[in-house]
Amino acid sequence: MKKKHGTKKIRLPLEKQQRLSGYIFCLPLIIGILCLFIPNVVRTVWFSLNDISVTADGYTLDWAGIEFYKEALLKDVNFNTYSISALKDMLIELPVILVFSLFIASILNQKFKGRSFVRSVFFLPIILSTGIVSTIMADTTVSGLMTTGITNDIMATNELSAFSMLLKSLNLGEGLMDIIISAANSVTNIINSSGMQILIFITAFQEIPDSLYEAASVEGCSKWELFWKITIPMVSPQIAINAIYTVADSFVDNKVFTYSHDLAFSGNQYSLATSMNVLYLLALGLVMGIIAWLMVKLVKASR
Amino acid sequence: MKETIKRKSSKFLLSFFRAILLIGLCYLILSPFIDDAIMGFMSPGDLLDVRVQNIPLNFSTYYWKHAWNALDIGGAGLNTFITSFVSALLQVICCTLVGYGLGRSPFKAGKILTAALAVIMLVPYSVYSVSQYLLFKDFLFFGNLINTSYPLYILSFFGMGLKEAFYIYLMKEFFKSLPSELEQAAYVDGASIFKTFILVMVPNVRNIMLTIFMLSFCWQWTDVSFTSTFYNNQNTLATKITSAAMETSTVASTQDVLGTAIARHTAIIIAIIPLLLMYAFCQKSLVRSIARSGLAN
Repeated sequence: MKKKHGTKKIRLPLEKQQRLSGYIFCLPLIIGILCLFIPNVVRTVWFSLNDISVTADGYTLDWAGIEFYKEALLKDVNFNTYSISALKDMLIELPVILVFSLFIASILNQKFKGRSFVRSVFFLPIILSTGIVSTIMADTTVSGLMTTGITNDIMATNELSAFSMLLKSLNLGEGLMDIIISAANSVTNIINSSGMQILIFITAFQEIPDSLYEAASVEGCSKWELFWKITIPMVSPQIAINAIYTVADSFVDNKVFTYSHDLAFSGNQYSLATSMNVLYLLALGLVMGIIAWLMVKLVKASR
Repeated sequence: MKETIKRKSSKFLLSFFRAILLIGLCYLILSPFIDDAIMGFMSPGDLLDVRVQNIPLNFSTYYWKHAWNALDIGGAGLNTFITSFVSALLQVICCTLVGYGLGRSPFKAGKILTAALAVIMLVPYSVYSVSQYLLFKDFLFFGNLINTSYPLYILSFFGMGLKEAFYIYLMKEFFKSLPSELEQAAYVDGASIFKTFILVMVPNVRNIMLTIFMLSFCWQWTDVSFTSTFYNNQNTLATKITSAAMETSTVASTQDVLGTAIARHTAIIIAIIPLLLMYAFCQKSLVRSIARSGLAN
C-alpha cells in the first residue's frame, strides 16, 4: 500500500469495508426510517388512542383508549361497508392488473414493427395517470353534459348490460363472471394503472437468459410449458413487487381513505379518522398476509 | 409446403390480432388527451349547441387563454418546477446511494431494510399525514416549515418522498444485475469503495438515474395530496387546476359549469406539456434501462 503524505493509512479487509460501507450508503434511508417514518407511525397510533382537540397554539390530547376504534367498528354507518367493498375491489383488481400487465409485457417483448412507439404509449400512463391528471380525467362533467341527449347514456348502459348478459350466458360461475364483468367495464382504468407493472415485467423478461429457453425447447417443452415452467418462476420476485406496487397505487382512490380524510379535515374528527385508517391497514395486512401465506404453500405443494 | 402455409397463415393471424389489440389499447390511452385538446378550442357558444359533441363548431382560443391565465405559469408554474426539480434531484441522489448499499453490500441489515421498504410502500401516506404536518410545524430547531418546500426536500433526501421507496427498490435491483467484475477490477487497481462507486458504478446506472429523475419529477409535478400537507397557500400547478381561479364565472349556469370543466381539462393539457417533453427526452434512457440484458448476461 502506498504511503500518502507520510501517514500510515489503515485499511480494513475489503469484506469488512464493504459491509461497513453498506451502512454508510444506506444512511439516508436508515435516518429516514428511524427519524421520520417510525415516529410518524407511532404518533399516528397514539393519536388514534387519544381525543385530539386542535387549539390556537397546537393541540391537546385526552386519553380515550379504544373508544374511537369501537366507534369506527360499531357506531359509524359507513366504515364497515366501505372497508369491505374497498378490500373486495382490491382483491378483484389485483389479479386482473397482474395478469393484464404480464400479458401485455409478453406481447411488448415480442419483435414487431412500431414496437418502440407502442411501448412508449403504454408507458405514458406511468407519468400521466397520476395525481391531478387522473382526477380531472376521471371527471365526467364534460362528457356527461356534452352528450345532451340522455339517449347516449342509455345506449351505453345497454351495450354494457348486453355484454354482461352474453358473458353470464356462458355460465362460468357467478364469482368469476363478476370479476370478468367488472374488469371489462374498467378496461381504461386497468390500462392506466398497469404501466409501471408492464415496465417491470418487460425488464424481468429480458433478465431471463435465452439459454434456459433453448435448453428447455431441446428437451421438447411446448411454448405453454416454457411460459409456466420458466417465465413465471423467473419473474416471481417481480410479481411480488408488482403486487405491492398495485396495492400501494390503489390507495389513491381508496374509499376508506377518502372517507377518513373527509372526516379529519372537514369534520375535525382526527382521532376517529386515524383509528379508521389503522383498522383498515390492519385488515389489509391480514388479508395480504393470508394471500402471501397461501401462495407460499401453493408453490411448495406444486414442487 | 402445406406445413409452411399453415405456419405462415397462423403467424399472420397472430400478428394481425396483436396489431388490433395494441392499436385499440393505444387508442384508449391517448384518446382522452386528444379529445380534451380538441375540446379546448370550443367557443363558449358551442357549449349550449346541441349539435356540438366533441369537435368545436366555432373555433376559439377562449378556453386556452383562460386556462393559461388561471394556471399562473410565472408564479405557480415556476414554483412547481423548482420544487419538482430539486426534490427529484435529491431523490435520485438518495436512491443511488441507498440502492448501491442495498444491492451490492453484503451487510446484515440489508434484508431488514428491504423489508422496511415494502412496509413503507404499503403504509399509505394519508394515514400519517396529520402527524407529518405536526412534525414540520415545529421541526427541530428550524421552527415552522409549513408553506415552504423544505419538508419536501427533507423527506426526499431521507427516502420518504412520494413513492420513493419504490424507486429505491428499482435502483437496488438494477445494481444487483450489474456484473461483479466491475467492482473487483477497480478494487484490484487499489480504488477505494467510494471512488469505485463514483467512478465505476454511477456511470453504469446513468440510464436508470435519468428514469428515476423523470418519474419523480413527473409524479411530484402532478401531485396534490402529498404536497398539500405542507402547502396551504396552493401555489402549485396541480392545486391551481382545481382552484376557483379556473371558474369561468361565479354564476353556476350550465354553460359555466361546462365551461369551467373544459377550462380544467385544457389546463391539464397545458400542465402536462413539460412532462411530455421530458418523456420524449428520457424515452431513450427508459428503453435502455429496461433493455440492459446484454450487460447483465
